[in-house]
Amino acid sequence: MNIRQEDDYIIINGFKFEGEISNERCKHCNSQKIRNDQYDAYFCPSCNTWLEEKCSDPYCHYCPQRPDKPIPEQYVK
Amino acid sequence: MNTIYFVRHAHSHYTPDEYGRPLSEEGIAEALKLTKVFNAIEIHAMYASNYQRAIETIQPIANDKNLPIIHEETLNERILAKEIIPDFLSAIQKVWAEPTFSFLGGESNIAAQNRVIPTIEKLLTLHKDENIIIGTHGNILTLLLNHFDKQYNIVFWHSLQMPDIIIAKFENNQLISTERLTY
Ligand SMILES: [Zn+2]
Ligand SMILES: [Zn+2]
Repeated sequence: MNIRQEDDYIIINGFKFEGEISNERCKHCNSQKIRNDQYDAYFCPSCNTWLEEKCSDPYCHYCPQRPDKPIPEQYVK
Repeated sequence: MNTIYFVRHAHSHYTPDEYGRPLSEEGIAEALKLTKVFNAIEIHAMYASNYQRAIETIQPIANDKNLPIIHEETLNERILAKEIIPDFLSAIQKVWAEPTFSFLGGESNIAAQNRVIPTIEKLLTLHKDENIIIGTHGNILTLLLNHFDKQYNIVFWHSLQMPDIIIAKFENNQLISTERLTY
């Protein structure tokens, strides 16, 4: 997996989004957590899972449009 | 005349600990911005529910103004049900369509109003001719305004942002006007 930070963007195997690499680590696999600003949430790139639940507001700006997987299938290598 | 600045909490991810769930990173950033918004506004007292997300949202303002935040359990969010309801939106529609209906372990609209309104009336008496901030939640805010004026309904709840500031003016315990504080 190729993860790069370029200014305010993260690029994972060509998948680009606004975010940053955190110093905190995933409890399951110890990978560094990554933040996706669009969804105001952290995920683990190795587990490809979100590390925070959505909020309970169905009209939230961030959560309802959040996809099930942080990295789309076609970019997972 | 009383002015209440109702502040709906900023963004917070769900955790099973309803009391202790903190603001998200974006939520914390939004809460910090609120100090600027209230910079030129005189505030005499601050109240919040005893949920972490409501307190954290107004904590930067409290620090800035050097005011304590008084926690009132009666300002807590309406309890929809004891268990997590999978279809939250339909459940919300149901309780607004039938004001006395409640899910198992939850509060009906009427029950939630009955526990929040005495607190609002108490604060109106205590803070005559003063400006106060109340850090609270979307549903209970809509319900308490709805007690005074039925135009505050489920559509109003939909329109609330995270965070959001509603300025409510009261005269003789009656709601005179509301306005969204945009910034
Ligand atoms: Zn992991
Ligand atoms: Zn959300």
